[in-house]
Amino acid sequence: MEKNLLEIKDLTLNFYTYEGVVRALDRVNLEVKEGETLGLVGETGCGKSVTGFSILDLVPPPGYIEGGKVIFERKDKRYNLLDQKDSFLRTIRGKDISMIFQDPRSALNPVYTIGDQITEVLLLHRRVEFCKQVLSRKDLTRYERSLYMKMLKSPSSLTVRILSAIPILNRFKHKIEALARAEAIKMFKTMRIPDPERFLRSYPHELSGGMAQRAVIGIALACGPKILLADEPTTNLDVTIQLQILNLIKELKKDFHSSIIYVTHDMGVIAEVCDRVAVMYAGNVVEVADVFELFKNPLHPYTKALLESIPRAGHSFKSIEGTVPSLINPPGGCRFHDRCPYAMEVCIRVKPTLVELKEGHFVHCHLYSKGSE
Amino acid sequence: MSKKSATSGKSRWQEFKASRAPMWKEIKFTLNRLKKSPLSILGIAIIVFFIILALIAPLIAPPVPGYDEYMMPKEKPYGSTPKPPSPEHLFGTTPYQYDIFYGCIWGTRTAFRIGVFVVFFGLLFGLIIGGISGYYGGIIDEVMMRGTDIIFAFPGLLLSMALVVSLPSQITIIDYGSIRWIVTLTSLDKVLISFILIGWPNYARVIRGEVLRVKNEVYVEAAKAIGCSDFRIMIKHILPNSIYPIIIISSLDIGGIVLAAAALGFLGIGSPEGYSDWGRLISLSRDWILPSNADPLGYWYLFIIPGIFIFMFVLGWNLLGDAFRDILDPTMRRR
Amino acid sequence: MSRLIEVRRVKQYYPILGGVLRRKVADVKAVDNVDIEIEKGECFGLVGESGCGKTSLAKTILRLLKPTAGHIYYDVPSDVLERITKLEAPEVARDMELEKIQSQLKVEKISVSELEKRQRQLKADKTRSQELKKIQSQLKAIKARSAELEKRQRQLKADTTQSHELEKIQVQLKADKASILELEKRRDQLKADKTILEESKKIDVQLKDVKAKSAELEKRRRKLKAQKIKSSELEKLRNQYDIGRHHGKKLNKMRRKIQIVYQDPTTSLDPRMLVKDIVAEPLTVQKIAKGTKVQEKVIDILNKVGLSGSHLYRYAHEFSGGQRQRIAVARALVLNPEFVILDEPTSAVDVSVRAQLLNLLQDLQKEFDLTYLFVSHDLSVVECISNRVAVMYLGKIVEVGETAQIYKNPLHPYTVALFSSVPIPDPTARRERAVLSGDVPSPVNPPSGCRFHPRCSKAMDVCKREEPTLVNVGDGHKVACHLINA
Repeated sequence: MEKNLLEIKDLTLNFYTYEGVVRALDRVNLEVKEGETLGLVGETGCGKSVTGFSILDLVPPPGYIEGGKVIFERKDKRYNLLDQKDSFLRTIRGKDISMIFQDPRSALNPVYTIGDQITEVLLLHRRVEFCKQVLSRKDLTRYERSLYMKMLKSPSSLTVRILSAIPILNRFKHKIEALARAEAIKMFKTMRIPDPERFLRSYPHELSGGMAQRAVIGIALACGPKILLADEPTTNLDVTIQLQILNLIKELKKDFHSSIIYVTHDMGVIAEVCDRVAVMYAGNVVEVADVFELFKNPLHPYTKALLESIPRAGHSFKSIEGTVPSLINPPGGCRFHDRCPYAMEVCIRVKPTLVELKEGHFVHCHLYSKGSE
Repeated sequence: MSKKSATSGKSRWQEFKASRAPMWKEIKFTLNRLKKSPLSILGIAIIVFFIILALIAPLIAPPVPGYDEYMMPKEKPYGSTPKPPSPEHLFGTTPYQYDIFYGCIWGTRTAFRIGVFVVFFGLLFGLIIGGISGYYGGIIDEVMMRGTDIIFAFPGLLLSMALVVSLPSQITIIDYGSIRWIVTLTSLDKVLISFILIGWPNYARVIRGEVLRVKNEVYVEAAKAIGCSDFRIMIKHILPNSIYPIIIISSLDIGGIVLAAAALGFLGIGSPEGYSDWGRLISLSRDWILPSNADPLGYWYLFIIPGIFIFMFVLGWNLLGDAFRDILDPTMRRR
Repeated sequence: MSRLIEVRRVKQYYPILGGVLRRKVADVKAVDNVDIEIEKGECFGLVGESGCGKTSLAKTILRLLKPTAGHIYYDVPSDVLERITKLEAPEVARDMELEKIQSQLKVEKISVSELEKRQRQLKADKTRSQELKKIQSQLKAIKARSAELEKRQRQLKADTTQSHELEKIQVQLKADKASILELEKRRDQLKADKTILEESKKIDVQLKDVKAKSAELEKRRRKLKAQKIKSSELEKLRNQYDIGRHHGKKLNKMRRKIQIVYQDPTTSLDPRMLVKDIVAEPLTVQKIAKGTKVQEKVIDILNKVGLSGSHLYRYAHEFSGGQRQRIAVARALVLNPEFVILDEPTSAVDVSVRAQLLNLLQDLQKEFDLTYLFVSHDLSVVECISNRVAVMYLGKIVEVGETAQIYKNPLHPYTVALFSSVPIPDPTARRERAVLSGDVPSPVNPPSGCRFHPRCSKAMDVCKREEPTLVNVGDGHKVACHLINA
């Protein structure tokens, strides 16, 4: 039984807007094991992206996390990420948990080259390692040596910061930056990018969508994170480029032994990439299962309807009646009851609890909790 | 019996109410946003205060019958020493005995006239020229923008002074036999016209930028696909979506124009002597700001009181412009 | 079924202005010589990736853009169409030959520049002659020295007292003789090395050849261009049916028949207009109805797309994505058009709403007897809704045919790669898929010959030189590929 690398327990998130309180997430429970790819699937407004953001506490106001825990295991200690201070979270973001965004061109800063952006991440998190490497060289001047020792001990000391800002005196940083660049080139070589040096020197607007997304993936994986949050990374890309990126992600997962939380609305991508799938609807997780099991034997009515509505030749596609409810006044009980063809009287009143029907296959539905009685 | 609309089954009045419903919702939302910003409320309050002041001017500062109401009444004897505030002259008198109180109250009307007149016509020209320039582009755009560049190249106040001096006092529009239409320009009118001529390029620039942005939106293209004429697209689609920055700028400008007019009035250009205009009032006090070593700020009421009026007026419009910017800021609206 | 739209040899080039004087430096060849036939009442799918030109083609048909070249014949009766085809035949033949000559000339120009480059390289290779010169001078020097030494030797031979000097001289002579031999060997080697000379001669011959060919092609091209094959009957027919030529009132009337539904309903609906104004606008602009009749028609069409009269007085942004797209569809249909272009209408909405929208579109097609042009990059959606499909790549149609046939049996390598890269929502169907390497090239400078050849795993030599044409391989299934049409 693999351990859980990340556990989300009873996460509740609200957005306080002019029209009212939007109950975006309602007691969401998820688990991510080591080395697996968890797919988070659902439609617009179901809360899958926000779940990803709240793991890293990146939800902007007026969104506030009302309750729940996000437990992350790091160096054999378990932390609740929602309790931690921002300075602690900053050591986790980018290093232990990284994020890839949907639109690569807006995720990259347009006024810095790719090289600058990836060395920024590398220097931020692997500074100690690089400093030690630099200090082990023999050809340092005394000035440089003393500065690097200072950087090693207290990276944010005033001396280091001031000297880094002065144009000529900050030449001492070139050694560590060269190391970071070499590391970045190595990273891009494993991603099989042709001519990595030129790639490092280009700006985001000079790159095509696929290349920019590869840059974002490179930056995310630069420090070897344990968990990679992929928020619809291939939605904006062409289908052939999507295939390239998906294959790349699969390969890198093998090399880096990371777990991936893959947020998307495309069931085809889920079937390609994921090991386990969690289906979300209107802020709730409605079904969690192994990917083969989910497609073969979907239990929750929403999952069934979702699979049936995928346009496929030969099948007449059925659409789901009604629309996604507004989360300001969400329907009581089970949030899917007004669109569910199997809705019962109890569904309107009581929110369904988790039922584990088979090993690893969880459903939130009264159909199954009643049936098991 | 109220007529019922054939299709929706509602009465005409209900239809009318329903059609205005989204507008009311918008207004309510706007008011709610305003409530959150105390400075905006202050700005609105100041402007409302000045409006009321301008409206009740004849009541609190009754004009002397037989004279032009804008000319400040002079008090005999016409001594050249200003008198401090007293029960008869609430704010005192200037050298040559003009009543400051009268001048400040009626000066509010003058200020509104100046501000609104200049901004309105400047906006009109700017909208037309900037809109056409932005929408059509090409050589029309180039020519018009170089024109605005030329006007921008001159220092504003100096150019306005030059224009005031050189504008003719009488413009003959038609002189054909028995039909004569001659427009006489007072010097205040000349000041206003010169401000308009200098101010419109700013609006043209801003409108052009917004039109360029909106022109590329998909709904404009969709309108073309339906077969809308260029004119209709400009009026119905582009203009309503590009007007917001202009509202902000023009409200800030009203204050600025009044300030500039006051500056010119101080220099003696603009309204004739004795006209109730804040700048003119201060110009009368030119020699008395630092009269003697013994009594440096003795005649403070000469320039501080009109100065306070100018200050509050401009402040009010600036705050109002900020208020508009806050409520019209697209990132804050949940579009 | 009669033809509704006949797109012939349409080109859409966007000029790139550059330089100080903003002159045209190059063209973005978004749509390059495309032929499409759409029958009445069918749904024609157009697939391709971003940058392939499908949106440009859609906009050209809609006349939001004027085609740079080519003709779009709308609603031509079949006999008139035949007549037009016959009249056009000489022009078409001439254009095709011109194109071929053009591409050949380009290829020739490339080879000329390559050859000239090589020529310059060889000429600059002075190393051989330099070395030769050096050896010559060295030889001369050594020969002179050894001659002197021999003279000295003979002098000394007669004189036995300076024997050790004699020895020295003898040693020196021997060394000199050896080096002379070596140098001579090297010199002979170099002299025999005529390769550079030969190569340069060969290149000269080649250059002359190529230049002669180019000159001939140029002559032919000029002759063709000067040919006058305009027929007045053709012009008249074109003025009547070719919507690429319509302008003014005629264009406006045509707009009633062809409408478009855009991809993103958030940006395609004016955010400052109420729903009723958005849907009523076509009626007011085209002066079809006035006053209360407008209201009636608006409510009627809203009901047909699944919305109601209560939605009239609201702004567009108050609705969900699917509803907004319905409003866009209502706006397109309110004029009762014959032909509707759907530019990726389902890309911006959720999966479940997608199905609703597609069902709605199909129902409306049956009810109003519409013809659709469904542009999309989502292959599964196109498969469900279209009767026939065309695949575009970099401004050209590479494959066209009945949907079932194309999806079951794709022939063009690009189509194969495209279909195999679509992820199937079935984890048991995970398979090794051919990954298409590289990125889509820019349409400014498309590759010569077949545009797909740099990324094609089966590219042959002819693919670099010649552009393949669409050839019918049976049952209306056309492919443009040298592999198939060999």
